[in-house]
Amino acid sequence: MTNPRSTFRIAGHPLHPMLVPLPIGFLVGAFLTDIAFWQTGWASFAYFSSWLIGAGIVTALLAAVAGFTDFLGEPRIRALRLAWWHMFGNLLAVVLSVVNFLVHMRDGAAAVLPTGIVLSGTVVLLLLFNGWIGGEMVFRHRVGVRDADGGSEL
Amino acid sequence: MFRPAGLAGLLAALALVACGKGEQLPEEAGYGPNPTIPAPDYAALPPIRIATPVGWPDGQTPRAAPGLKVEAFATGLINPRWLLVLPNGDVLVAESGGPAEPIKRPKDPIVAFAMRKAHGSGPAPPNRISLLSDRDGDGLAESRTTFIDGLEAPFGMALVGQDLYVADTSALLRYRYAEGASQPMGGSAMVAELPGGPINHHWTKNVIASPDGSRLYVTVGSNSNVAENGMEHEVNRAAVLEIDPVTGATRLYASGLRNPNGLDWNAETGALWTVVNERDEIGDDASPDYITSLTPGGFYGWPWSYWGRHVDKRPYPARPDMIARALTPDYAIGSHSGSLGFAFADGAMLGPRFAGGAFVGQHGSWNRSRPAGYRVIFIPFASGQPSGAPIVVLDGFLNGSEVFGRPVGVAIAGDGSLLVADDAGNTVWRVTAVTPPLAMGSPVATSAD
Repeated sequence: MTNPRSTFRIAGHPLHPMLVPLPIGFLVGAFLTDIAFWQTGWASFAYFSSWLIGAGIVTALLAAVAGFTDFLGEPRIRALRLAWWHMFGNLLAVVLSVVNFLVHMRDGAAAVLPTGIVLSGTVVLLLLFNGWIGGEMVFRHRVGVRDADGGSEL
Repeated sequence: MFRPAGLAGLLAALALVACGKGEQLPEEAGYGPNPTIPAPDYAALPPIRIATPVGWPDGQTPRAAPGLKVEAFATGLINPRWLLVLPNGDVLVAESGGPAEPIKRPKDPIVAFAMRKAHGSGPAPPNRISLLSDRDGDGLAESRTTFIDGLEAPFGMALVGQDLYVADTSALLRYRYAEGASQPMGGSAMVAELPGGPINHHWTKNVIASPDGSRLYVTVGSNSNVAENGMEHEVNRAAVLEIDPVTGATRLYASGLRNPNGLDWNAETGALWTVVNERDEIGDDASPDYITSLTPGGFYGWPWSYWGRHVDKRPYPARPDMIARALTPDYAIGSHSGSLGFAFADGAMLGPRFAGGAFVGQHGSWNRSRPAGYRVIFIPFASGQPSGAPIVVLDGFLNGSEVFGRPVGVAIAGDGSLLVADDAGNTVWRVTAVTPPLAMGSPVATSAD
């Protein structure tokens, strides 16, 4: 039996895992700069958070395009309950980040304390959860993994 | 498994959290010595309502109060903002625009776009001072000539003897002026540096001299809404500075004034008065702009509190010690009204109703779900303090979602008329009494006013 295939791929290699580190890095970074603002009161840290959340949303949408293409292109992925959790978890992270982007448009401490930093931290927890599930899909259910005979992907 | 209703509900709940509550109080509640100050509403999506400037249709003017009439004193100007009446009756007008601000965060381009829209798409402000002359006294300036060119962003002007002071946006300059001249003699000398770029958020600087000419007072607005760029960018800002015209020595005269512009001396008490634009993005009804007499050394709350000790939680870290020092201003004139121009009525000949008090130019709001300001008001005074409700002197600037013009600086002309600089309308208006109170050669009528 062959493994569930990735549809959004180059030379048999799925692109979704290559794109997800970008939003993860930006959104974890935003949580760190929120903490830095809270601890130092330096105004620039709140501005860094705004840019990082914005970049996180844009790159998350890129990763989502790859993820949705894989999800819609392979019935055996849709058949995995974990894949639905992974999708909803990440959509929620994007929605919360959009709200957080708006909250961070406020001036001064109202950008970060307390709503902004709570949202940033919640998004980080969600990303950990979603990342764990993504790993389950690949490492246990072999989603996108090359078949043993090496022929089926091509 | 997919539940669109649940997602829609979540988004609706989020929208409710993000948007502000809107207007909750009648307009009068934000006026007078004891305005109603609602709790701050830190909405993530503050209302932005910007009227589009379209200019004045031919022959149309603002609407003057009963007993007054208004005519154009000068048209075809470019962003006229501030006025100085010279001893011979000539009028200097600063035609200027603020420098572009650097983009520091994603919000900045959005706000910059909105502000560009508010100032129309006409030619770029020339950053010059023009001389308007009405030598034949018919109430229309028959000539406009360039008086000083090549400035950075000029605003306030003051004349002490032959010394003409110009508050350019990053320097206080001195020129030599002889009465009746069409240009200053020679170049400028710098009296003192003023807080300028690179941010220079509130860029308009006004200047007035003490009655004996020995000190100058300069308004400097804040570099932010509520110090969100950091207090290190607010040195000598949100303040009225006292400057020695000889040495340029500068000290804080009064501080905690978010964006002070108009300045005038009260003849009765000798106190210096200013008009202040208060902060944005805490709701439609907070916090009111105000006029106030200045206590030397006084602190008026910005950024930590507004209208005395009403706490704003946005400046961080909090400074309860500063809030404890905050003085309450004298008289509120509406939240977000954009009040900029200020002139006491000394010398005005607009009838007894407009004799003792102050004129205020209200440029108009952007951060309010229903527009406020866009008019010139008169605040009656008694015994050196505001007394009673404001009277609308000029309105009709706003027309639905469009504006014909926006009033800024106000000044009393040599003939007792009121001059109003209208930046979006590119006009200087002249307001006079319909019937001069003491017309020469006619019997003195008893006023029914």
